[in-house]
Amino acid sequence: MDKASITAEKIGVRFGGFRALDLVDLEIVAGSLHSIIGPNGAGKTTLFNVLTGRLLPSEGSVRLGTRDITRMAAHGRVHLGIARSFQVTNIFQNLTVAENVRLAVQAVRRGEPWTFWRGISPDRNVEEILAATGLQARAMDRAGTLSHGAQRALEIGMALGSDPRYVFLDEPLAGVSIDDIHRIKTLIRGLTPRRTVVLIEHNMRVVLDISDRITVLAQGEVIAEGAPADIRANPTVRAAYLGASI
Amino acid sequence: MSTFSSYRSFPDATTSALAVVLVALPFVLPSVTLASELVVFAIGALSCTFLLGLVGLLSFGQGLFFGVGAYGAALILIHTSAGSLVTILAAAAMAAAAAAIVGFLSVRRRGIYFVMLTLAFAQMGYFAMLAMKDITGGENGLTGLPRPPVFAGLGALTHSHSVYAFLAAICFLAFVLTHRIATSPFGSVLRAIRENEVRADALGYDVRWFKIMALAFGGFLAGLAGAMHTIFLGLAPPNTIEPEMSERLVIMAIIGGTGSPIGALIGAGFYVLLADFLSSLWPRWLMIIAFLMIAIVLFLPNGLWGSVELLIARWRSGRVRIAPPGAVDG
Repeated sequence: MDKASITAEKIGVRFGGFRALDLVDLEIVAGSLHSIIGPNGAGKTTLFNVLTGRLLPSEGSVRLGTRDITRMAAHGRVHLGIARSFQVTNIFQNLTVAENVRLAVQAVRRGEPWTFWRGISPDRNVEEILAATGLQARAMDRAGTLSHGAQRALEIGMALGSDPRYVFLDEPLAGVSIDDIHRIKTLIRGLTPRRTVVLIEHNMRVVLDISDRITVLAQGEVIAEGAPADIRANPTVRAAYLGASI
Repeated sequence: MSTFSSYRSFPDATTSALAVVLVALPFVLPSVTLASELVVFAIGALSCTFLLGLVGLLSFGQGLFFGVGAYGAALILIHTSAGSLVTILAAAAMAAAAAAIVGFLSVRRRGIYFVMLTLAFAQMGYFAMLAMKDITGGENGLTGLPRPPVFAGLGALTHSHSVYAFLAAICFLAFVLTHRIATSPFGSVLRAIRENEVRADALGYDVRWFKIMALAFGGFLAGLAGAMHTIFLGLAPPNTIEPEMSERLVIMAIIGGTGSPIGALIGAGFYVLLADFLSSLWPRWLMIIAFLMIAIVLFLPNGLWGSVELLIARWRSGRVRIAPPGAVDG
């Protein structure tokens, strides 16, 4: 298995005069579950966008192993094994659930996306992902008709479609009902160590429970990083973010 | 696998229906030439239906590629001794190449800016034709063209019926090819881009290149129609490359409905037949077309064929499901 880690060095992102990220350093160790937490507006999703290729940083670099991927587009990074889900559900609303997953799987099948002379051939991976995310029964329904929780599960399913080595999940539990939280949490934890998971999540109980490592962002800067126990005990973090929530 | 039954099988009932319609047209319509004109514009409209309905791209440049096909075919007929089939295919390939270049430069922008770029290229093409008077004949167009047999001296196109049979056969194959592409893996990517471009990119699809290739195929269809127009008329008049041609093809596509390739046939048929009928009654007949266009956009947003499909679906299932028309975006 490839043990290359993703390294971000001195990442800065400016939107006009606003510094969304300020000299952020981050190392995501292969096979780990690395969470990024922080208050709203701390720059978590911005950092995700830089790491997955949706946003070119104003300064700094992103490396995969020794390869500089700072300027590589999002679709290119998928082919290096980097996939993501979105904070605001971002699926193909008018296509079926199965087709949403199939499109994710098809993207990394060599030559398949350009095949125009024959029909679509079934792919076993689609069934596997539908089963893993508990969406089998809804496979033929229009994705837009799914409940919010099921759409979050589909988001994760689509991120797994390319069989990625690195999975970036942006608030996968946002708005998910209590009954589903445990199932999705188990699903996420089960992705490692075969895959590396980078997680943005506000549910602290889940984050502290399943993470190997946690980075805390506040106002675009890293204010702490460490194992869950260290983060829980860190006075700066308690003051800036956790407060009385744990 | 049943999971993909939402993709209609290939070929399906529509394909056989299309064949029946194409065979019946010259017998049903008042003249064979009208039938020939109809199939030519059906393919021209199909280029817009394909781009708008499957990929969500509104191109006002299809008239340019129609013109490249029309003039390309005329030049091939003048300067070579190629048969009609080779002439048409070569001219369509030229149009596809032109569309790929225009696409390469246009897909950098999305939405209304993409539409404006295609419109600008269409304008430019028309004036380029006027400027290159020595090659294109300027405002006179290219006239007095031969109409060689289909291939290798076989299949003489001397009678208007044989011309129709030739054009209808190409029309049928163009529809089958478009349907094939729409139901292929490539087509599924185009549909994904129409639905959600950001997600398609995040899944690993290089959206720009998929759009460029879709535009090249749209250019191929428009060029095919233009070349067929030249073979059918025996001349390449300037109005084949006018920006108004782009407009006409888009109008046909929208009248017919962009939800299915058949919409292009319905839209072109409606426009060509109505134009033929109205122009004999009133020289300002285009005004009536404009009124109809407004009425269709306001009251039948899925176009004529889309509305028929809705009625069939309603009759079959007993429940109403109205699909919103695809978003227009570049």
